Amino acid sequence: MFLRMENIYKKYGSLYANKDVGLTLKKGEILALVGENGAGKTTIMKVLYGLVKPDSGDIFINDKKVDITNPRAAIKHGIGMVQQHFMLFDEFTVMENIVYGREPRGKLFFDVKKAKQDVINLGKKYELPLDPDRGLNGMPVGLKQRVEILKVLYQDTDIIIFDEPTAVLTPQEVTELLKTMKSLAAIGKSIILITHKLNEVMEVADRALVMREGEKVGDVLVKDTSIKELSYLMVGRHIPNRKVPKVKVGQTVFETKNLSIVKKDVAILDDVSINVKRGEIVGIAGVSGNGQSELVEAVFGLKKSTSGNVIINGVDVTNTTIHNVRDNGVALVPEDRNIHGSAAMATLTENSIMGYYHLDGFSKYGVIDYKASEEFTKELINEFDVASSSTKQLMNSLSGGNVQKLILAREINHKSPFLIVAEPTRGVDIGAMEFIHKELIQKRTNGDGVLLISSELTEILDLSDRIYVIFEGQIKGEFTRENATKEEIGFLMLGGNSIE
Amino acid sequence: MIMAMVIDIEFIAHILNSTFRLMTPILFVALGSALCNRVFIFNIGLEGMMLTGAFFAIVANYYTHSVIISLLAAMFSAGLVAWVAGIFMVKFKGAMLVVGISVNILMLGATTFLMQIIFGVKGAFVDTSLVSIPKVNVEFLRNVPFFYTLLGSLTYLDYFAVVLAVILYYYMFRTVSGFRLRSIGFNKEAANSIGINADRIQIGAITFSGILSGLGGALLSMGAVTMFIQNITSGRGFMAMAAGALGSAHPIGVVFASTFFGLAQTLSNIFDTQIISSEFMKAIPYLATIVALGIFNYTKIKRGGRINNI
Amino acid sequence: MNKYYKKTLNLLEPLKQPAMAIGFAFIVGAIVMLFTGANPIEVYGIMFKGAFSSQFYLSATFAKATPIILTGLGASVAWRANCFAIGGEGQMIFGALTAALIAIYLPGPLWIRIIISMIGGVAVGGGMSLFSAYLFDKLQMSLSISTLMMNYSSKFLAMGLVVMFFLDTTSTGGMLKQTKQIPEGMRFPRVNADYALTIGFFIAVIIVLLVWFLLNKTKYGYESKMTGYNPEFSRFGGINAKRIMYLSLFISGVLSAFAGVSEVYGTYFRYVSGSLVSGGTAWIGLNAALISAYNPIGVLISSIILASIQTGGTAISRFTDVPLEISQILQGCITLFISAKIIIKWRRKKKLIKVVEEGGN
Repeated sequence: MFLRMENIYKKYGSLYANKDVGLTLKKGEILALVGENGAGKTTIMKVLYGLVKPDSGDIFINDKKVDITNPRAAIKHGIGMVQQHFMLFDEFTVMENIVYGREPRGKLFFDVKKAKQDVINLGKKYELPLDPDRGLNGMPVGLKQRVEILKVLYQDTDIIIFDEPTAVLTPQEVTELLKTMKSLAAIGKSIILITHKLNEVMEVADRALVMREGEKVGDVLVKDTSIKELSYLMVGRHIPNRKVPKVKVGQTVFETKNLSIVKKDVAILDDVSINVKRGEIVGIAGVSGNGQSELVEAVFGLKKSTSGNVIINGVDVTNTTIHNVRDNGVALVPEDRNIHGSAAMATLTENSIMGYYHLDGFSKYGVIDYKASEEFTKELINEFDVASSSTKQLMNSLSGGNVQKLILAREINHKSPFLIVAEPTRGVDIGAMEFIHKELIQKRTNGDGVLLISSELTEILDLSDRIYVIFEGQIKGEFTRENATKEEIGFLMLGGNSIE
Repeated sequence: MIMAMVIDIEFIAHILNSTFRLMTPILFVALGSALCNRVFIFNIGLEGMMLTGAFFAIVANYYTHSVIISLLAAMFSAGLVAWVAGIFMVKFKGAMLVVGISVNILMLGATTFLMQIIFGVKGAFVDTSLVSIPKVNVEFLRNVPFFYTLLGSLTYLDYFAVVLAVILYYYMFRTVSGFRLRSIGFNKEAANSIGINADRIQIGAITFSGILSGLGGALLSMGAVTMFIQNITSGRGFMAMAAGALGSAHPIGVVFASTFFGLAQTLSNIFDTQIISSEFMKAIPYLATIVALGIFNYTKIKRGGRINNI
Repeated sequence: MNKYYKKTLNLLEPLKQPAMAIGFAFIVGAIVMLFTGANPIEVYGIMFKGAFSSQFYLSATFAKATPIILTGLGASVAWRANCFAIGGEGQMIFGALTAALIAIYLPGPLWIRIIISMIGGVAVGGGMSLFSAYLFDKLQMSLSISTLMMNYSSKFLAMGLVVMFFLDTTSTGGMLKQTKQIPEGMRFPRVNADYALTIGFFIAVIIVLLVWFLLNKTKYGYESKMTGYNPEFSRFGGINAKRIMYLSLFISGVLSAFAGVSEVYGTYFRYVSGSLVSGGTAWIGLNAALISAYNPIGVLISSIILASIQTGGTAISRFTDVPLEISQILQGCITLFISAKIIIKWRRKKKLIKVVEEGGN
């Protein structure tokens, strides 16, 4: 056994990111590391690459215990990582990027000639040719990834970690990449592939290690398994909680028609047509990073769509301003509450009146009525049971769950007929989660429409009346509450094909 | 009068000579500014660091009468101030502008304060025992008046400034260390991901910019004149920042930008107030910096490039 | 009891950082004084007396504080909205020059001249600031660079204009590069004929209150504050960041320019080249803004403290061997410590020194 990780524990707060995780890797093997968001895949790889220090556990290479405390040490032990967000310099050439950190030197100077030759040789050796003098600016993503791979190979690594490498690639580039992985394995490099896409696992990996909630739940040979089995292992069995009262469905309140965002020939959103009616919670199931954020941004005009329409209550608001979209009756609980949903250093009141302060009752002649604003904030706090001592305290003194409750309170209070909520319960405690779910159901029972975007499949299944599955920017399927099963949705959102 | 002088070749030599002498103190500091820009540091404290160098050169000069020790003192004192500023900027995450401004105010006060404590004088300190940086002997050119004027009364340090620019050019674009230095300004995270300590390189660059500012300051207080005057730099550090920006942080570009500043200063010293006020000439370099940066950014944006704004 | 204690502590919370920075600076100052052989307690005593002990000293301190307050407000308005402009000096210069020239040369009744001269002065300052906003918006030119360059070009351009066209040759035979005096009837009246203090200080205090109202009570104030705290959140909330930038920089320019105007009307009664630059007024104003974390009332208080360090410094140099520049050392140290955001937290008698990792631009 070439690489062995044993009994890795890592705890963040009260949550285990890794709980007694073990991992083995042979020479020339391709190991797929699969699991839902937050299953602990990235954590264990960060431990291996020296970016995260585990609470306990050991790493052995060739049966010798090693100590990896930083990326440099990892590289020294022959471990390299192709990061999801490329760690490259757009201003430098291919050669400069590849030799970075281990540049050949002459007596005094950077030996550019040798470096170029090295890069050419490296490209030949691994059949990944690249022009060493080419600049990175404007280079297609697939080629940039090739630079990143060569950079890792240049460091004489034997183990290469690929972190979600296909997320940003075109289908052709994906095929290329998988071929490259196979040929690297064939010459004795060991590869760990972190991915959500099970079809890729089936195509390229020898073995798959499945993680769920920080624990290892499966370690299977790919030739002995199927996408179906892997997706069951990943998401687990589930009996949906269906105690939601029935409501009469009303008119369509939100609709996108063939909405697309194409950037540099890659469709981030591909022909998305969905709708939400009054009295409905519509869920969008999918692993995060499959176009959900772009969908929200396209609706609000924060990212321009390249084709298609967004229609709110019958009004076409495609590519207009956020003000216009909101005024037409859309409220939003954004995905990242700390970046897009609140200001940590502002008071609860200041956070609560965002989106309201220009309305009657909150301001007059350009002057904000802070007394009324405080009253309003108090109401929100009381109604949504936000644990706080004063409306003047700063947002950063609240717990994550309470921040989220206040944001939800603010957005629901708009009394808009349509609400988009993205990852509403990410990182909040159980109590807050239940409260938030209850409020969302209440909103729908009142006859409004809710679009729920979540990578928590359980949440989607519990709350949604209808479910769309999104994968790589495309809607892969539509289910009703009655015919939705976790197995089938999990299968689709992980890249399985419904035709099979 | 002026018309007669313009055609005088001797006069041109004189202008060039003066331009060169006024350019070199700025050049030292501008090279430091260029280094800082390369690692994404906006070092507005160069003015104060330059002043520090100018002052401690004179202090060491007074006690040792050694040019070498004076220069070392200038480099050490300004480098120390820069190092502390670097720690505040990089380690303590202090806003760069605020740290720089503090350094300027602090060192303006400290140098004047110490001048009174050490020398017991206000305003300016001169002493016959002070030595100046030796000038390069051009007696052998006495028969060639043009070159005799052109190269007259230049110190070794003046020549060194230009040599240093060339050295820095080779350092930045030919050595591994320079390569890594430039990388920090582009993408600090990518540098860290491969185990390169970006913080250390940034603090190093700031410290080195201080050392260079110290030399520039010493050239002011021990070059053309040998004395320390309160606030002797009077904005030359800021001018050097402008030169660093105008030369797009490229050592050779910085030489040209500094020369431009030196020429403008020379012309403002020469031109008669009746034709055009000399003060207008002094404003030109700063206005030119805005225009040049504007054109530079405009073409870059047109080409779809990214502007590395600090 | 305990509740009141806690409430007071909460109220004092924003004062902790500046108080500590000032404390540190005074410790450094004391060490420096010890080196010179002076007794720090004695020197600080003289300093305090020299700034506050009599009506004469008080009025000098307040007069000195006036332009600091105004430039401090100018810096606060911009920096609070994440616009790190440092153009106060240039705006002050051209505000002062414009106001002086209009006051001197415009014909008509005095009160009309006063109004036009003041509006003209602040409009030029606001316009300069808008220009840097434009350069940032359209050409992505860093605000600090463009405003810094404008400071220096303003200094020389104004000087050149005075020398070439508006030089007053009567008083000092053109030795000082200054304009003629503005008519006596236009000047800010003095509070007491023997003292330096004019109504300029009280106008500044009124402006402090106005700016406080603007920043804390109006829609604009809310929008600029939220943009400064979290631009992304503001964007999602529908705030137009560009509008806020232009508006903030314009107001900032107007306020700084008014600092120059008030110096013309209350101190020099003419435009004197270099007078606005030599004391570093705009920079000290920026310091006042930083110390008070952009709070207008705080700017008022910290400006008076900074001015008192200056007037007190004058007293020190008169009565002791410690040079006047101790005041600059103190000022520099205060902002240096403010910048680092080193916060000492007291927790159950345990002292914790913690570097808060935030800020920086």
